[in-house]
Amino acid sequence: MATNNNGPLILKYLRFKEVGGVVSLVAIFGIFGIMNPQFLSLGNLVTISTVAAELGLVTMGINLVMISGEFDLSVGSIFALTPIIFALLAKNGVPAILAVIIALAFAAGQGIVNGVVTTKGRIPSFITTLGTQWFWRGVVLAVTGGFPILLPSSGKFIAEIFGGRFGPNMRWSSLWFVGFTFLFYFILDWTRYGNWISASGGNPSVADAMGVESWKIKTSTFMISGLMAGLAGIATFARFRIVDPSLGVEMELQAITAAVIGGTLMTGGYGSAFGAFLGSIILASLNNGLILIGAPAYWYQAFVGIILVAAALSNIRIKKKLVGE
Amino acid sequence: MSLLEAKGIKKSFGAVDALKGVDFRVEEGEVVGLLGDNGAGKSTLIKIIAGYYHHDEGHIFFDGKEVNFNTPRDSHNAGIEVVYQDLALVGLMPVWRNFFLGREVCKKVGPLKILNKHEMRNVSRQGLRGLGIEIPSVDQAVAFLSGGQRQTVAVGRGVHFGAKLLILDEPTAAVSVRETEAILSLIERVSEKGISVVLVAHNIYHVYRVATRFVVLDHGEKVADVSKDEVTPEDLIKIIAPPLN
Repeated sequence: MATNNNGPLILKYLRFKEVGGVVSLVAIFGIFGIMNPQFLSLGNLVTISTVAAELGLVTMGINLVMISGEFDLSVGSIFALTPIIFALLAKNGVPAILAVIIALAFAAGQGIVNGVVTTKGRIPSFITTLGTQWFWRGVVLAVTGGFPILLPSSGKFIAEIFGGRFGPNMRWSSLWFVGFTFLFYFILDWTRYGNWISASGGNPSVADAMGVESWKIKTSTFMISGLMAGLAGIATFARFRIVDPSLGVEMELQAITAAVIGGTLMTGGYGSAFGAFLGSIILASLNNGLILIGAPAYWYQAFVGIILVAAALSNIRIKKKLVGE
Repeated sequence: MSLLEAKGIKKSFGAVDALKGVDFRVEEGEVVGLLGDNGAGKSTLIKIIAGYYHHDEGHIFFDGKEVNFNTPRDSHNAGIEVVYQDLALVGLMPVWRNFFLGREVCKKVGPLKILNKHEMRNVSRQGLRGLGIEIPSVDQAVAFLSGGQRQTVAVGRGVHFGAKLLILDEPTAAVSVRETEAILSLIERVSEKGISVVLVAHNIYHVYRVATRFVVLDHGEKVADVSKDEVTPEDLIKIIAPPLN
């Protein structure tokens, strides 16, 4: 039979495809924990969970887009612009609850635009979202004039639903992050829609032939990605109480890296919510750990770059064994 | 009344006339071998029937009604299943998910509709049993399967969901010798169920084994439409590639 002899072995790996993530996480905690025991303190772990949540909410959304076979580079700009819209509306007398709905509707709506332009315009999503990334960042700069926007007191309550404190130091964003992880796992693995997402990313022509409208599926994942980025932005707003116009710059790099660490294939059709969860925690603890050992700030960026390439190479090798091409 | 009747099909790609007015007919339960040398227009005709292309001129009737397939989805809904290896299945997904793609079986759990994985695994296992090629596990990603196994999954799916016409393009290419026999038997068995099959292939002997009628295209025109008792494989070869004198 012409079956791949490596089949069963790879499948075993894939059933626990998050094993790579778990091992990396243990390694990071081990290394940083030894270099600076403060790393493992409860307070620090809470900090890591908060940072992981803010990145992770974005990663969850972008992960879905990648599984559907596309890229969303605009998430960083939406991460900044959504809380800005929320703040400006609230500052100008719009009730906070309405302001947040409008802001999130914007986040979702621009995602739909990304999706329609990409699928109907037949432009690579990389290009579409590179364009919208720049466009919305331009809007951020224009609207803020380059100055930070403060969280208005009228908006505090609503913002804190997403990112406020509870308990000693934990933030709601961590719970949202865990909740969404389970939700996305459920969607991907246990719903028809999830099957359609995997098919649209794995082979859109086949999906179309079988009656799945891949353009609609992809557009919906862009919408979700935008929404998640907006949500994450508001949660972060609750923590910092200001939005700097440079907020979210290069967040897309981190989110994509986190998804790829989690096993999501860059070419689409394959990915995991729990993998994205782990990937986000890994990057957050890496960032935190480097700070704690006194490493220069740019080390994080360099590491993320290396990890992205290494993780993608490793995923490709797995895919080669999977699909043989 | 024929199951499929295509009349006067013309299709051009820019300056190239791929089909110059072809009539093509398939009866219920027939296995028609669509033959011709490279560039004859077989692939174009097949893709028009399957809805991937749209004909420039001509009419197509399926199941008695005139049809206008704009997308593969339209022909799929009408009961035409394409069994090209890479146009039928998503490699990264397991067999059972492919089997039910677009037609997933769900069960209600409270207000939610979730996939009935148990049912889909069982049904796909059943549907692929006894087709001649063993599919060891429906949980295996399709990319792990051999060419013959993939065809079996695509054919089995088509049969299970009531396809009326299966289109196979070079089903025995890239398939092991042992599996070739199984695939040809599968085609025979499928047509015994009353499902029509259009078989595009280069290997005359393979096609001759299972087909009941042969249509030969040459440079976009139909040059022969004969039943099996009228020709031998060697006759067909001579029609497709007339000997140079």
